[in-house]
Amino acid sequence: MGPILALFGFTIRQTLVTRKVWLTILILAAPCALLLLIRAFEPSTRQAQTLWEMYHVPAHFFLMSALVPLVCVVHGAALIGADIEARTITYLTTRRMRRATVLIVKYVATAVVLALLCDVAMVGLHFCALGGRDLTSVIAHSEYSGWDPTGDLGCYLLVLPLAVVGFLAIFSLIGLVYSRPLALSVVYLIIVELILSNLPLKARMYTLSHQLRVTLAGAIPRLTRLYELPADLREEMYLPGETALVEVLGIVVVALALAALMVTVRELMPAKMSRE
Amino acid sequence: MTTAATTNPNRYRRWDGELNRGNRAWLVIVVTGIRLALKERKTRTLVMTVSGVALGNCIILYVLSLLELVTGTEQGRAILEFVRAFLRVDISGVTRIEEYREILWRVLFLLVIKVELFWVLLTVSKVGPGLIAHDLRHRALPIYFAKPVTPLTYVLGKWIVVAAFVAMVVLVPNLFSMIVGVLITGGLHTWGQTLGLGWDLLVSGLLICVTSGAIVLALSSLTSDHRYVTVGWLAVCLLPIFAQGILDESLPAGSTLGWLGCISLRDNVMTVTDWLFGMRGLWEASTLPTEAFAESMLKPVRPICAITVLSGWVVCAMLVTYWRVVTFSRSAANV
Amino acid sequence: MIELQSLSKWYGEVIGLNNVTATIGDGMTGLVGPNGAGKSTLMGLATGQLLPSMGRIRVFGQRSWNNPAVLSTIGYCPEGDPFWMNLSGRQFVSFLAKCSGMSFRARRKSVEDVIELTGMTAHAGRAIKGYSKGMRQRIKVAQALVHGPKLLILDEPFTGADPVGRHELGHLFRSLADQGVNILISSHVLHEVEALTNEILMIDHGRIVAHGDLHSVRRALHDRPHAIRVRLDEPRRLAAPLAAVEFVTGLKISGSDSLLIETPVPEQVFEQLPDLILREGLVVREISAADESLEALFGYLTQRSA
Repeated sequence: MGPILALFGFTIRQTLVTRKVWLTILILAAPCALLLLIRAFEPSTRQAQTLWEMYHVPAHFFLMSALVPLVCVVHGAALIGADIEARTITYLTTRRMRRATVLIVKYVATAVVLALLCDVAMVGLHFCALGGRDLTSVIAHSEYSGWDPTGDLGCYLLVLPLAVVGFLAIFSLIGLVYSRPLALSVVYLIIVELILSNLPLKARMYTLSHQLRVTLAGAIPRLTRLYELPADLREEMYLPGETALVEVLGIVVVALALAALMVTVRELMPAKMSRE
Repeated sequence: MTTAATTNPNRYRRWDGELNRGNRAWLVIVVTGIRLALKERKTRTLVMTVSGVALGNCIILYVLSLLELVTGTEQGRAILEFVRAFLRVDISGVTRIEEYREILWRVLFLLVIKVELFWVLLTVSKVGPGLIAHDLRHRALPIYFAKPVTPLTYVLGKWIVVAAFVAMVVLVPNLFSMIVGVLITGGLHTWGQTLGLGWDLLVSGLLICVTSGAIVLALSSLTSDHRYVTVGWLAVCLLPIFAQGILDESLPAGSTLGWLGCISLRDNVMTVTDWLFGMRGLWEASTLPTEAFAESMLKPVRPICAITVLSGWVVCAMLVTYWRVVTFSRSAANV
Repeated sequence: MIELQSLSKWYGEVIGLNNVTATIGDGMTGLVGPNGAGKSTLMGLATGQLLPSMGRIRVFGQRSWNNPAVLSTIGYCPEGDPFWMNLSGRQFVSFLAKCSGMSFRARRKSVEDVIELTGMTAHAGRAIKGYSKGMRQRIKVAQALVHGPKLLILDEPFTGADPVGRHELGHLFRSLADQGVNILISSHVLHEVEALTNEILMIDHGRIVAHGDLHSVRRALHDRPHAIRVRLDEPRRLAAPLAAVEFVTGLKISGSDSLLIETPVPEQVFEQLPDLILREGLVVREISAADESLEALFGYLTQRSA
């Protein structure tokens, strides 16, 4: 366990001290900044629906669907790629660890850091949106009277790490498949996770974003109002109480298994270096 | 007898000679930058594909010229339907279409510029990130500044490289389409009527060149890893669009027509272009009912706010780039 | 120690190693060859960084690719600057010691020992990004030694080190070899390798052009006349009787005090030379084999293989 713990701790440390973490914090802080801006200019009275949307739109569509994948692109592409480029991978693969172990340990450590950062961002978003408001009087006698923001926060705090785990696995795999992982990851993110997952087609079921939405909508059924889908498709795809935990974890396992296979059977040296 | 030895410390010395008049160092940087970028097949493909947009634009201009000839016929009605669906302008009651030619062309070019901004996003993300970042990574700045190149020349040269590519995907296709449009619509009369549009296209193209070039260079000068520049550039361009959408939804309608409506870079560029094109004035001068063109109009954000925000971006970006390059040139001098 | 069997490695159209079969034995072996000869490729294959395109490589009888058991017995000092620049030298060595599975106590002692051994004690607390090239080489050597490997693979370890540093590193490698550590050391600076070991593996264009003891390699070059340099005051007086000797194929007088004798059978010449010198009453300052240096051998061999 010694080498594994050493690499785990080292990866967490490296994730937190490099410049990438500032980029990550900057990206994840965007919803909070936006909500503070809105609150600075908002009218004195607010409708329950506006408040509800003001909370869920940034949390769901901005943080979970756009920013978390973007952060995972940055970290996933560099998971092994940064060490390959700096040639420090040489040290890790000539020590008492299997290549797949190096990948998995780095993945887990990075996922832990990102999940924590995302949850902190979500808590910040919660307080920026709702902190200091007398919510009870606004939502009383409206169709949102049963709204429990703390419960919703709990759901997000559970689903965001799931999103991190899923997206990081996908982008780590892309990072090993292609020599320019960032470009391919961004293309995948836009085409599959942002466009395909929002099309009124059943094909969206094969995207991670959709599976995360199923899980979130299972816990917060009212969220389906935000999805621009024909009613029949919406009712078919998003069921209250349903979770897609198995599907998400399935994606993670498949992506990680493929990535582990790739590091085991492929050389991890930049071509220019190995030719010297 | 001993002779005094002369020592010449063999270290880097900053070039402090006089520049010749007509020094063209920036041109060397530009030509090299463009040549290196064009060596990449993906960049070439990207630049080439924008000709598809220009071609589509020419076809629509041809269709509009056809409309002028077949007004009132069955074919004319079909074209009017197309104009309503595509340009979101309802001119079905108009008999003399040529009087609305300039307005229709301006609506069309506004739409095309919006599409071309996507190419700008991709092209700049391909060409721009490495321009300064690669030099920082490979410690190439001392090589530049050991030559008669000043930081200003260097930044200018790099900026022109980005601007040239942006011009290739915005300015060139638009001016080309306009010339083709004038030729197929026929006559000097058309030329006179649309000359102002040509000028506006030039200015709006330059606006996009200046803004995108300045921002990507600033990002490129901040890190030696061009991948972060790419992510930064995409984040600067795309995330504010999301944010602006949320702001528009969350705040009362009137409040996002000032400064709060100027978060997104793309929206600001479109607001300024809309103002340059004088769309609002043209519509107000026309005799058509307001509903006829409401859908094709952009959100009426105050242009002065958008111009100020864009200018702020450009000035800050240029200062950051210049400061970074000067810092590196000084540190190189102290090697 | 390392067995190569019909080992080939190519990168697309570029051949790194071309059907190499050899056994690198215990002790210190110098891996020499020009840039691009295939030295780093061979080291990459031995340390499990690269996969053979054909053939096989065994280190201590096992394959090294993805094999922690073998890798833990190897200490690898790669070429270039592969570092986590934000770490201090001590953190760097300590982290890699942890990755080698060392216990806390053993690690603490070993880290300080190797840092001292490589002369980095005064700088170990500083971030690596502030290190000079020589310091970087030393700290790389330290990480390769920290887990007490049986085999040390050093890829261009002298690059960037100053003359004093080179001397100290050379001394360290010799003492490690004396302690029984097997060392495979590569360099294209031939006299550095020559100063460390007589056992060489010479590579050029991906092929082994010579392997073995420096002198036996030289003897194996039958088609090349050997050169014997004699330093004396009157070279012409010695050249005259030598011209009549059967085995001497060439004589060259350079300057006023040097005579170069070319012969395919140097033993015969060495046998007759003292008599001739005595007969002529000459005062000789030096007699040496002029082309048994690694540099001369390298010149002959790479010329032949080119």
